Amino acid sequence: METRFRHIFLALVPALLYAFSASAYSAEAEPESAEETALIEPEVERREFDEADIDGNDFEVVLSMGYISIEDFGVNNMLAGKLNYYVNEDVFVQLAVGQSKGGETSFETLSGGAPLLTDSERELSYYSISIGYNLLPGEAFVTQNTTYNTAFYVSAGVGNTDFAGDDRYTFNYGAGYRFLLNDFFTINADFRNNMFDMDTFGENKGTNNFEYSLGFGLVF
Amino acid sequence: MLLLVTSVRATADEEVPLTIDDPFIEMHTGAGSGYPIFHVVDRGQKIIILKRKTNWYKIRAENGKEGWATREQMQQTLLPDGQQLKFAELDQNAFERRRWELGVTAGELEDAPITSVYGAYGFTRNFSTELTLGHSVGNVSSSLLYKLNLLMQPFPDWDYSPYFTLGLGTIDVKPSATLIEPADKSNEFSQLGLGLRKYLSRRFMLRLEFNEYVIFSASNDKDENEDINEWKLGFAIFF
Repeated sequence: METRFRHIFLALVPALLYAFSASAYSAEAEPESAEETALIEPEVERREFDEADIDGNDFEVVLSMGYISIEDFGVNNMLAGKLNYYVNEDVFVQLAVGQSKGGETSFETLSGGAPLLTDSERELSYYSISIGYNLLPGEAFVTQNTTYNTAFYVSAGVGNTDFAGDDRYTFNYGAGYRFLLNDFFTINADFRNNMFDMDTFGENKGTNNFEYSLGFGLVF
Repeated sequence: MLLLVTSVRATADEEVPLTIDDPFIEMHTGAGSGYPIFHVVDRGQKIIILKRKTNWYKIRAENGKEGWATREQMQQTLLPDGQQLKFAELDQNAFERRRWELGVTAGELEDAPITSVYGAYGFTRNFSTELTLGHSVGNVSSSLLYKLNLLMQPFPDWDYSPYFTLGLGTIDVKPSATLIEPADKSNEFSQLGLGLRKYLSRRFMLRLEFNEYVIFSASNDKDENEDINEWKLGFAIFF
């Protein structure tokens, strides 16, 4: 009989202990934040690492303003939009569109006669596909404690320029300086030459149209 | 229970801490090997990943220092459960499984330079369809080319993978303004092409292509259709 009681008691003790601790646990779980973290700890351990959650920043849009010197048509304001895709730390691909408006040639100004081009023919627009190479990564030390990352890059590409009423196949090459304000914003100073043939004045001649611009970029 | 659910959700947004398993990880000031190393985090310390730029990862160490580390070094870290971190490799396999592709090419269409953009969608590893917009600028005319084609890639797993294309489209030709023949013309065409693709890195690939076009320009006063050739070289990114 005694052994039977002992058996029951032994069976009851762990059961009671378990019930007691469980109720104590649940009673304390809500108000106590320490217990709460203990509760979710296994969840934290099991959290999946998902590479897709990492914010990838391989693209950049740049809005640039500056000047383009259109051969024979003076230096004119220009506006350009660029999309950069960073292939790796060195190479990037750039799609660009730009527009400007040609001024008067010296001949037109001096002769005071009929204009050589209509107003709409003076409108210049271009697009280009270029490959860029970050030649010199670097840092700019603004103050002793303020440092910005920079990169000097070169680029070259092809595209089209619509000017003087015609499409003109265009080669471009240039260089630029990228100043990284932080992980998201950049300032870009670009210089490039757009080379295309013009036959507007009779004979076909190659022209060099230098462009320099300052752009504001957003990395995403 | 509600509290438990919300707290789990709150932690899910947090970065997963990774434990360094290499003797140390080098932190660069920028996302490139040219930027100097300014800090080193030792084995056993924890870091979290903040963002990625090409093959570089911005990380934060336990002491709050933030810097850029290479993909190779990130692979030498341990997840909270002790497993080694493995990035889903963006490699040849991902390239073969790609669905969308966006690219640009440059080349020559019958002696005149041509620049094109295209978008492609892959149905299977072997078949995809592409939409191409080309702009060819010659001395006497410029043309816009719109093309829809079907692409067949018999050996998608080859390093240099050949492909064949079959397409239809229209070409709009605009003569130069300095010429006295102002008539624009538009013709349909069919196209047969042969190309080669090469996977380069990450989401990037190279392609070289040769196309033969038959322009349906035959009319009452012209018996024959025109045959023109195009070759082009370009690159694309895939998703």
